[in-house]
Amino acid sequence: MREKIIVGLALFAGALLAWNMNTIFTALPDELNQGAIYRIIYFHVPANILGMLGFGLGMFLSIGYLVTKDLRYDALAASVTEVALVFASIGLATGSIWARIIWGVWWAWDVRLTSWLVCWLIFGGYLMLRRAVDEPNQRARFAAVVSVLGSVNAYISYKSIEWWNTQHPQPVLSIRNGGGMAQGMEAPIWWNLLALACFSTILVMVRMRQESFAREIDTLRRMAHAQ
Amino acid sequence: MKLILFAGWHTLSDLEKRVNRNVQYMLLGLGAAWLIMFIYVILITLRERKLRKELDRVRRMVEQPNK
Amino acid sequence: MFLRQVWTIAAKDLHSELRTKDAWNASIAFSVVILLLFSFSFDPSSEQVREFSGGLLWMTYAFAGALVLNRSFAREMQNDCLDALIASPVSSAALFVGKSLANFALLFAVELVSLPVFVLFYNLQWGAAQVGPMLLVLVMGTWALTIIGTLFSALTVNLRLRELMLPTLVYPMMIPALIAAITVTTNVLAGSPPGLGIRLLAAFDIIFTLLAVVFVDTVLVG
Repeated sequence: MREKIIVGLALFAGALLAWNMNTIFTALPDELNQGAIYRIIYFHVPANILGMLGFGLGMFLSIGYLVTKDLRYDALAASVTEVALVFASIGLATGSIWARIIWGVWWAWDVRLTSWLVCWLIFGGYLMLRRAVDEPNQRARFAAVVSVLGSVNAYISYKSIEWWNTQHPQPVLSIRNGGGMAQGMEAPIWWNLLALACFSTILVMVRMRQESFAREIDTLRRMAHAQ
Repeated sequence: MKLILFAGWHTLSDLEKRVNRNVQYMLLGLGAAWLIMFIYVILITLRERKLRKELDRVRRMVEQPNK
Repeated sequence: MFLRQVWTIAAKDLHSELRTKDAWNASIAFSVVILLLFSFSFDPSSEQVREFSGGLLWMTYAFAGALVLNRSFAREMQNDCLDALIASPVSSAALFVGKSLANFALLFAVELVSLPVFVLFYNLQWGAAQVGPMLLVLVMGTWALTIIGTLFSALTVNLRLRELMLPTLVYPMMIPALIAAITVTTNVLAGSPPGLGIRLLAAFDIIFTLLAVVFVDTVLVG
């Protein structure tokens, strides 16, 4: 069953990604001011949305663990956070390359960029912390605390383009009252978000199974030592 | 979209150079996005393999404690 | 009752610190060393120093503060004092707030001593009007550093990689508060109004104090 879901999602995500790439490269014209480079937005924005949603979801799952003390919540929180970190990395990398052309620099220290980099560092620390603690319940507790504290920063980063006058573009998506894009240009962002969301669901599922492997190895080791 | 990757630099005007660089960086950016996903998939596959191997080893250890 | 427990813990920590003055001496010496090191990375007599003096000051405090804060819970490891404290009728929240207050007092004292050194080294001009806002931002910024530092000191106390994990977790967490404190300090030193940063700093203090008090029981007891 699980394999079938993964294969199905992979086929769907792959087909959708291919179709999106086709739209982005052949159907859409260059943007008036930015030229060809604006196409980076079709990965930059969905990747960062997934990163933020992932960190936020990780926070709720961490709270779920703290309330129920069920380690499955912790495993899911860890998986989601790790995948979110991968997408946050994509967001940072693509944004940096875009900035090189548009701003002339690889990095600018405005609030949006800084706060997002801080998030990246905190959740990187989250994963490092998980490796540093051996006892599963203690690991889950500590990781949950870091996840909740870190999510405050994720929220600051999300809101920063509204609260401050950042060098980073203000909201462009229509759901955030941006409306800064022509109709045909915004839709592929959402389609690519769907494709990448399916892809990240696969990654989370694989990652979850690895967590259960790790738990099983741990139990078997204990049994072996008890014998 | 204007792609002039193979033309010699000296024959290009400034505008063409700028367009060229723009396109190159677009490809670099999208390439980076794909590359990071690809690297993560490789990492996760390697970890899967390691975990399965370890699980097998530990299972055998439990079944035959003397080995 | 809660306040008395907090006070007992804070007094206990301050007493044991005043007896040896280990952290106190180390962090004052360290902050002077950092101020000295900073002076090599740029021209300390230039007019531009004013523009990043806030940054220098808070970097110094963040690093010197780490010396004080790291030891806060680690000190209780000897003779299993931490277990005894957790087993005692004092609640985790009271233990945490007490320790935070003690750390705050200590760090604030270190800052007050190193501030004149800083002003002296970097030729900053001070007016009487700047003392009030400066003290306010010092208190608020130091509380932010203290609350984060003390919570993570509790979190990493039992880890085998403590001295590696603590800085990688603490400094990123402190960054929003540091940025706010730095901009406000720079504004105050330049004689202009503190700006938006003071509100951000206040929000950070309130949110993270609440979160820390809520989570400290999870961290220490489970």
